[in-house]
Amino acid sequence: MRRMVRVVHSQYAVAGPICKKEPIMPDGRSRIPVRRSERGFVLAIMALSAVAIIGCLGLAVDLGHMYIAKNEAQAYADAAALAGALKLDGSGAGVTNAKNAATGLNAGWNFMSNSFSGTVVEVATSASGPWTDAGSPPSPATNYTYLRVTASAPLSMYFMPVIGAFAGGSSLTSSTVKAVAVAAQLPQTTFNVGAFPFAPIAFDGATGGGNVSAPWGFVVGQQYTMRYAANGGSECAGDGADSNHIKIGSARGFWGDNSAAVVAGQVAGDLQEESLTTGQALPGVGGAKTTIAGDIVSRIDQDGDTTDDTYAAYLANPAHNGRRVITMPIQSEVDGTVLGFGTFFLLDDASYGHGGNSNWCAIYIGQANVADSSNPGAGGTPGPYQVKLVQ
Amino acid sequence: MFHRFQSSRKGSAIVEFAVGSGLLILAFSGTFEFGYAFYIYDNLQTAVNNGAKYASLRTYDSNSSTPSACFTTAVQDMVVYGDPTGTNTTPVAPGLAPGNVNVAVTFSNGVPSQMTVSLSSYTLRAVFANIVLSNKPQVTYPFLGDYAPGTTCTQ
Repeated sequence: MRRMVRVVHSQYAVAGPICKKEPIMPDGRSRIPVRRSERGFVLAIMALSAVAIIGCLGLAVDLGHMYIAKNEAQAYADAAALAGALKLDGSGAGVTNAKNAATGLNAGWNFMSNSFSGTVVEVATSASGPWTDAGSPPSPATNYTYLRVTASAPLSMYFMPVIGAFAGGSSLTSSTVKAVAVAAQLPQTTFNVGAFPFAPIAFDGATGGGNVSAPWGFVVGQQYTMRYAANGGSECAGDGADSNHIKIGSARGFWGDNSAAVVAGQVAGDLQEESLTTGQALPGVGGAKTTIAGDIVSRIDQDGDTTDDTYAAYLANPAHNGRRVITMPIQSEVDGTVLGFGTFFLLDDASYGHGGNSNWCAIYIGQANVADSSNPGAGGTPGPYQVKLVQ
Repeated sequence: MFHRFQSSRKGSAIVEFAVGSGLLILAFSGTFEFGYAFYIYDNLQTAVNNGAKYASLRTYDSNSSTPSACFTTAVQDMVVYGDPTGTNTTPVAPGLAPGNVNVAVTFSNGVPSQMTVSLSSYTLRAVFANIVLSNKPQVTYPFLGDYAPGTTCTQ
């Protein structure tokens, strides 16, 4: 049996694939003497080709399975990185929340039948690292705005082990498919939807100290005027530092559209009539509608916390959902252009109930997320940020 | 070449051929079946992922966890045609229709927090078997878009 297989093998290897005529053995003899032992030739060829056929099956089934697992793992890694990066707030607890959000996201592999385990979550201050494991949060965690998720799916191979055994016994019984995604909090400089229709004035003029770069002279926790009083007689505490911040007449800080219905959509529903980008002239309008006060109250009432008066107390209240956190364009005191976008916190709903002539205030909070503004940012550029995939 | 089909070995060759070709046909059809089914599933996984990603970035115009019809249609069209406007009408997989796509919105504290897109009752017609996919593929993304109940959705 052993001899027979060897002969057949050498014949196949030398003459099989290329020769159409009667095969001649390498030593020049006809193959006729061998013919006596041709019993099982088909069987032997079958045995050899079975390896190739199972290899094809392995490619179709195991490799196909791996491609799908890779696709599933990548979808999970992308979503988990985004979910995690949303929770980063510059504190160690924020990093732990981020890890929990990433690993707790509903996802599966192997046709949704296995859930992901062993997911690695890391945080960093830049896209190039160095990466710190989120299981032991860095201290301080300020400026950790990048989050990397490595998802892995340990797949069992069904047909590849045959190839592995044939190719020298290497273990091909399982293969771990990995997917990596990096998400980060990045500043947003263009708004197509969601910018609040008021524009506080920066301190970039001579009387304000010439603060031309972010945060344009604003101090976190201070109240600034978003709508000026009709008679120019009153302003919010923070604006007292600049004598040129009193505006009267039509330029009272309102921009956008001034039909009552549109104003209601703008204030209570994030409607934005026109896109706004840093550097363009603010499209200011009069817009002193008496209905705006009610619109602001309904905006505040969309939040779970309508009463806390400081941003810290608001964040500590688990009922808050971010609706009192707004993004407003910051207009230049010098020429009225949009210098950038700032994030502000609306006061409690009783603070806006007065008439159309008084001033309205909001607290500058430095940084906030646009989509999930229930979390402050983790540091970096002041202003609104978006969470995006960077890798 | 066919010298082996001789007198006494005839029966053995037929048996060998029968067994061998049976196994071959099984292996080849298995390869095709699995290859095709996996190829379609991979396409569906990609399509559902694209739809979920799109839903997570799109402005959310409803004030409850029931999305507006326009929002749902746009996400369904994104999954099925790879195009939220529905201008393209070639589905990414044979027989896939917008009705097979589920869009589920999770609200927390009164604002949208997650978008889950999945397929339901889609029949994957592989060559030898029909596989009904329910709740798979399924992809969940955190909501990253603007919650803007004051806007009106346009597809």
